[in-house]
Amino acid sequence: MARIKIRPVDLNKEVAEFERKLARGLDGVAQFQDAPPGATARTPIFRLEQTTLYHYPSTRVDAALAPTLIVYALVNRPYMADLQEGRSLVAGLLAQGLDLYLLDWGDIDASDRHLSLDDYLNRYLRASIEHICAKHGISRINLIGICQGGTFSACYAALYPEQVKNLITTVTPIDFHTEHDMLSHLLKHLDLQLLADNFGILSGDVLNSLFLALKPFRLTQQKYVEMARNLDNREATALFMRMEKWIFDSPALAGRALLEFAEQFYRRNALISDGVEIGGRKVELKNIMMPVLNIFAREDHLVPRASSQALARVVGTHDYTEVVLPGGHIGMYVSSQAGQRVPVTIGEWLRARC
Amino acid sequence: MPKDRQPFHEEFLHTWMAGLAPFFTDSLRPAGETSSTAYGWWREFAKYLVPGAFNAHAQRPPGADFLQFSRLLGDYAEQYRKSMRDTDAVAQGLRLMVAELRATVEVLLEQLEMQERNALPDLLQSWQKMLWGLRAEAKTAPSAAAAAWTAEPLDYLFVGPALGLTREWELRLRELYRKLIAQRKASRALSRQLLLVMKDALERFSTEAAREDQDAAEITTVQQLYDLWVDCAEAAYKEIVMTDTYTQVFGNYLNAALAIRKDGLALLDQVLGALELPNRSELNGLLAKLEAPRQIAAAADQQQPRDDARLSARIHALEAEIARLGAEMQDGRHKRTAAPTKSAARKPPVNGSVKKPVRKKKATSGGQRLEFDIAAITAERQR
Repeated sequence: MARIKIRPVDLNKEVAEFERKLARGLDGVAQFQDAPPGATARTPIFRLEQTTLYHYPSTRVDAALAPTLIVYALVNRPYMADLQEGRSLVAGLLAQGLDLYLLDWGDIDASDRHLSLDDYLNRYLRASIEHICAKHGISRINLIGICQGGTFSACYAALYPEQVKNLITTVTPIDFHTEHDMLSHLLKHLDLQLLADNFGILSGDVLNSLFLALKPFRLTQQKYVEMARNLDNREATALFMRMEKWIFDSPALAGRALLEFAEQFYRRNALISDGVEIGGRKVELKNIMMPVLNIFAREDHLVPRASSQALARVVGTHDYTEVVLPGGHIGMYVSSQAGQRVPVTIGEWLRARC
Repeated sequence: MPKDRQPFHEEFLHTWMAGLAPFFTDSLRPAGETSSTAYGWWREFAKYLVPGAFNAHAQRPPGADFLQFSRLLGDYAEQYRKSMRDTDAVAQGLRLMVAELRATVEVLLEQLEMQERNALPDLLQSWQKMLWGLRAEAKTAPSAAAAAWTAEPLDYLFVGPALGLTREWELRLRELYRKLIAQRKASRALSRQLLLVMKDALERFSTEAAREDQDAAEITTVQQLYDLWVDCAEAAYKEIVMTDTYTQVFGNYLNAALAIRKDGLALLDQVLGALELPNRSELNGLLAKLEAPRQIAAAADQQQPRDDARLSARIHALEAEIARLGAEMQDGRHKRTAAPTKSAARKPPVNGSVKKPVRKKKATSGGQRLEFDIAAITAERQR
C-alpha cells in the first residue's frame, strides 16, 4: 500500500466535511425532486394514438433551412434533449435558426403489446414527417435521430429517402456486434422469445436494470457519492436530480417491437447486412443518398464509437461527415462544453447544405 | 425457562440473536483475527452478546450484554484515538481489510461449490439449522434430523406418476419445482462469476495501491482511494463480463428466471380461471382479437396521411407557381408599356425559372406546361 498516504487527521477532516455536506445539502435536494422536465416552450401540433408531435415556436427561424424533426429512442423520454436551461439541445438548435419539431413516442399500456416496429416507423414517424411536410408545403425535412432514434431515423431515411433532406445521427448504434459492445454481449444468450412471452410490455425498470449492469460500481454507488460531494453546488445538484429523474422515468416498451429490435438488430446484427425488415419492407442503408452527419461520443459506454462509425460503410451517399465529441452517451448533450458543440456542429453543417 | 421474568422484547432479541448467530457464523467463516470488516464487528458483537442467549441468559441481569458490548466499542474508540498519531495507520488498516475481504470471497466461493455438489439438501439443512436455532433449545437441535433432510424425500415425491383428479396441477407444480431448482443453480453460477469479479477487483486494488513507480500518484484523500477502488472494480467487472463464460451464465440466469415467471403466471391464470376471474391469458386473447381490425385501420391510416401530404405539397407548389406567373405577366405588361425592342421580345425571360428553350407543347393542367404556353403566347404576340 505504498501509494496510500492518507494521514488519519486528514481522513477525519474529510469524513467530517463529507458528513457536513450531507447534513446541510440533503434538505436542498428535495426541492429538485420533482423539477418539471423541459425548459423550452413547445406546442403539441399532431397526435396519433399515444404519440405526440411537438413544435418549438421560434422567432429566429432561418428560412433557408428545412424544418427539422428530432427522433428519440423508445427506451427513455425525449426531454433529455431539453433537460434544463443552459443544458438544452433543443434551445441550442433553435439558436442555430432551426424550425424544430420533436416526436414523443408517449406512454403505452398492456393493450399496446402488439405495437411493432412497423407501427413506430411506418405509422407514427411517417405520419409525423408527413404532417410537417404538409404544414410547410414541402416534400422533405431534416431528421435528427438520437441513440435508438438515430437507428430508426437511418431506417426511415433508407425506406423513404424522398422525404429526408439531411440525416443527422447522434450516438447511434448501427453495428451491434462491435468488440466493446457490452449490451449486445450481455444479451447474447437471452431467450428473446421467452422474454416476449413473459412481457407483453416490458417495464422501463427492467431495461434500466440492464443498463445499470453495464457499470454497476459507477452507476449504483460512485455517482451517489459524487452527488453527496457536490451537494453544496446548487446547479450541479439540480442537474443531477433532473438526470436522475430522466434516467429512471422510463416508459414501458411494447414486447413485439422490442422482440423485433432485439432479434434483428442485436441478435442478427442485420442492419449492416441489409437484413432488417420493417413492415414487410427491406431496409437497405445504401438507399441513404442524402447528406449524412454522424455525431458520436468518445467515451460512450452504451454505444461504442465503432458501432456508430459503421454507418460510413453502409450508406450510399458520398456526402458523409463524422464528428466525434468528448464525453459519454448522455454527457454529450448535457455537459456544459460538449453540450454546446452539438447544436453548433449541426447548425453549421446544415447551413452548408442549404 | 423463566420467560415470565423476561420482558418480551429482550426475550425476542436474545432468541433472534441466538438463531442468527449460527447462520452468520456459517455464512461468513472467520478470516483472520482483525475486526476491520462488518464480519469482524459481527464476530466481536456475537462474542459478547450472543452467548447470553445460549447460556441461560435469564440468569444475567437484563442489559448486561449491551453494557459489555458498549465497553468493547469504547476500547475500539481508544485504540482509534491512539492510532491517530500513526501516519501509516490507514494503510495498515486498509491492508488488513483487503486481506479479510479476499479471504471472505474465498470462503463464499467455497460455499458455492459445496452447494453446487448437493444443492437441495444444503438449502434445506441451512434453513433447518436456522429454524432450530430460533428455539431456546438451540444447543440440542438434533443434527441427525438435519442429516435426514436429503434430496431423497423430495425426489421420491416426484418420481412416481401423477395420477387422478389433480394430476394436471401436480405436473405443472413439478415443472415449476424443476425450474426453481434450475434457477437456483443458475443463480449460484452467476454469484460465482460476481465473486470472481470481487476477487479480481481486490487483486487489482492491492496491486494499484502498492505501486511505487513514478506514474502512480500518491493517494492522499479518501475520495482518491474510493475512486481507485471503483476504477479497479469496473475494470475487473468489464473483463469478466466480456467473456463468453459470463455471457452464457448471465443468459442462463435470466432465462431461468423468465421460465419460472412464465410458469408461475400460467398457474396463477389457471387459479383465476377456476375462480372465474379475469386473467392475463383472457386479456391477451381479447387483445389479439382486437389486433386484427386495428391493423386494418392502421393500414388505412398509413395510406391517408401520405395522400394528404402529397396533395398538400402539390397545392403549395401550384400556388407558388401561380404567384410567380402572375408576377411575370405583370412584369410583361410593364415591359410592353415601355415599348420593348424586338430582339428583347424574342428572347425567353432571363430571370425566373424558365431557362430551357421554348418548345411548343400541348397545353395541359401541369404548372410547368402552363409556364411554357404563356411564354410561347407572349412571344407570338410580340412577333
